[in-house]
Amino acid sequence: MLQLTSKQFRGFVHADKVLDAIKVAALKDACGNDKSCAMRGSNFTVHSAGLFDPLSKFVAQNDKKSN
Amino acid sequence: MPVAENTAAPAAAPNSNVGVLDPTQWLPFLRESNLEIGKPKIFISRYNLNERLFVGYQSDSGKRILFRSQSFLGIGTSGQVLHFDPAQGKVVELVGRSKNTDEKGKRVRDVSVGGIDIRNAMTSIKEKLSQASEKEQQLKQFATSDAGIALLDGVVALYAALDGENKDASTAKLLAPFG
Repeated sequence: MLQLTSKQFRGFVHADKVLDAIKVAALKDACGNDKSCAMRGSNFTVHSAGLFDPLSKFVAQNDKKSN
Repeated sequence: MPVAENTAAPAAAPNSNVGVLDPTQWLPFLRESNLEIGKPKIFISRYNLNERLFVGYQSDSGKRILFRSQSFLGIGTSGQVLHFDPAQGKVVELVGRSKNTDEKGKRVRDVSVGGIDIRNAMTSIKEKLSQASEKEQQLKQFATSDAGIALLDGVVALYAALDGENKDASTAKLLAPFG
């Protein structure tokens, strides 16, 4: 809500410093071909525009293929 | 609100960059804000349904904040973000339950972020009420302050650092107050 009201969309600018490289790569890879996505976890998405969305759910690539 | 002592060992750091916060040392942790510049870092103490989430974050400017939440069976989850305010010389809430009351003297059901009731502010802005511009300005000012930046960055770091470490619903519940 603070992001939306203040219009400060910072994304995760310090991901490389805060997390290790393997974790950062996994979060980026989880976006697949979704160009609007910068990072995706099991219960959040960081969009390319910087919006942090804690409500979105991660659907594993394997689950998508089986659908 | 004092932090309950915990005899369990702190949760292991999920990866090499993540620090561990001694749950008894949260006050010195917050007081040592702005000493390390350019070293954003997350410090995890513990997180699971039986205890509570207890995580520190140090922003790029060195500002330190503390996330803590606890689930109560059948009631929900309460969450709070604390920081040390040098102007007041004490630890204060950055995020917590609103302390404002309605016309009947009852506590309003809102979340205070940087001293601003966020749901009330959102409604004012959305419905273009008289205080909309003032609230918008206050929130923008907070979001671009040292503490506001630490909060915005820290929430994402918190979700990302705990991602995949515990896939049951408890982690999601404990994170929910900060989303």
